[in-house]
Amino acid sequence: MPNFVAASSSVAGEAVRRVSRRGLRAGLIAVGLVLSAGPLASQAEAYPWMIRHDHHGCGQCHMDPSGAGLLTAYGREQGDEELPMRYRAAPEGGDTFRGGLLWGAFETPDWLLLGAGLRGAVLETKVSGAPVGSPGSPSAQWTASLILMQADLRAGIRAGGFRASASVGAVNDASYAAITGNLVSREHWVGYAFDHDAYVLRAGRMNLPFGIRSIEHTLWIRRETRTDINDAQQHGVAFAYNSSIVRAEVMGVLGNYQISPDGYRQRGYSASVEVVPRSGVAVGASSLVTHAARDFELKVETLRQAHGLFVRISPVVPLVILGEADLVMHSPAGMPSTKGLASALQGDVEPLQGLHFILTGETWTPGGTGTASSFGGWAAIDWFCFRQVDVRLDFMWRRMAFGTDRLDATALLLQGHIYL
Amino acid sequence: MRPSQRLIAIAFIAAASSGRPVRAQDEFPGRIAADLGLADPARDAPPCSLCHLDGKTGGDTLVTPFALAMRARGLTGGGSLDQALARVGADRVDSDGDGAIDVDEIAAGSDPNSAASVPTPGTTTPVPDPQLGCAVAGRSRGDGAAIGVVVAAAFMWRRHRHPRRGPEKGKARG
Repeated sequence: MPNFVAASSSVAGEAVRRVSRRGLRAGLIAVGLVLSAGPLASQAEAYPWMIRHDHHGCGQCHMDPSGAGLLTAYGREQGDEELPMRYRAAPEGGDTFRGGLLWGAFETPDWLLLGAGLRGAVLETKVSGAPVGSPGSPSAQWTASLILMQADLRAGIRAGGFRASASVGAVNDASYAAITGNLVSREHWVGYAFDHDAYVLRAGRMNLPFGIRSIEHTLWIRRETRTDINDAQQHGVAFAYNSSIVRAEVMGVLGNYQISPDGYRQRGYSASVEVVPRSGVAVGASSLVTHAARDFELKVETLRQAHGLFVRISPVVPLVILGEADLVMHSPAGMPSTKGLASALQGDVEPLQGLHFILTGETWTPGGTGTASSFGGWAAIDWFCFRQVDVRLDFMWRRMAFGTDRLDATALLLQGHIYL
Repeated sequence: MRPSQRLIAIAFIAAASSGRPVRAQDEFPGRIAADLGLADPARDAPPCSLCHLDGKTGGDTLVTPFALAMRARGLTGGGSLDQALARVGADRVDSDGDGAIDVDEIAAGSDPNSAASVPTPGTTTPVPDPQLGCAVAGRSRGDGAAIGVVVAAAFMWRRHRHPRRGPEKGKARG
């Protein structure tokens, strides 16, 4: 440890000297953009369809061994190479653009990773399907929202086996990742990697290892299992294993210590394992059990369970199929247990590099007596127009069953995203 | 700290502190309580999670079953709240299917979004939402213990890979 401290001090001084004046100016502008916008719900980046490029595992490209969030240097290289649309053939000898933070404006030492994510959106929604009201009573209307979905700064350290990562951002709505006021930290952890990153032990606030980690955090498979990468992170200890054919992670969940009182904190475990039997095919299973003295959704003491299977297949390079199904069980104290089922099937077609056509279908059956199923469909176009920039248009429809109500929710979402 | 670094730190702190605090429509819970004729609207006003998913206030979190029922009946803002609530009552909407209609559950202090939350005789005070932020969450004892495990494991691994060596024979220290 002392060797690391001494080495890092001299390396940090060298890093400061190497940051160019132009890069520092660009960084200040970026920080200002990121922090001035007052975002709402936030997302990290996670692209499980990278399996089409033979990226079965996640830890090579991300600090998080199960994927999403801060990129490693290799992850940035792959992102620059495989994500953006190509408008001309690569020159002989390969591209000469500078990759890295802020499109190469910053150089950082090998042990330091920096990043940021900025995502804004326009959302139009309408909820309809209620019985016709009396004359003059209000009817369902389209409502528009301007949302800044993400404005996070991220940093990570990879020094020998030592690992650390943290994110900090700002929101202007409530978040389960709040530190104080408008300041949020979705992830912050320290860890150690053994045997060339084959094993990683981490502790802190982290994403739960469960299912397919993607940016569509409102899908029922993510929402009902409470395993999205928006702000469902928990504090705990996680141990991950990564090889060319198996990746797995198990996390002891100690609760979200950024909410109170203690009765609302969920404790238990979450685990996921994925096997790659052959190139372009990955199958996995997940399991989660937590207990809270007062579940923040059900408002009573509850034991929650979620167990499921998931699959990622790329039969041909332009096509990726993602599927997941999860059994979700609630056992509220003194009440009968319910068994629900959430499922999603998604097809991602990339006919040209950087242009994705995405179709998703999902279902949610809550369980319990007299409860009907809800269904949803989602069509999207995601265009990675430049390096580190993408624009996405989504059309979403859900037919939802709530007790006596059957409602239709329709939404149009236009997003712009930059990762720095 | 260099001036540029100080500037970044100041900008960050100022931006994080100066943003609008969490605020949906502060008056909505009280108005709902008043519309339903609750004896003490201030005490018995429903929590934010009545309409906002997990109690996280925001325009894009109005997706609880009760909120969707209200939006389907014309809720678009403060001016439409009372009429939308009246329609929910008139339609006898029961969003969680537990047999108690939504307006009765709100009046009784239970959650119309959760079948596990049912009206309890003798009480009308709703269960409050979680408080958010480390300032109210107290010391993170869980974090400290977890980090201690990792540090200990890393130290033991390092000792295993790089055992200490004593001074070579015949050579003095220093």
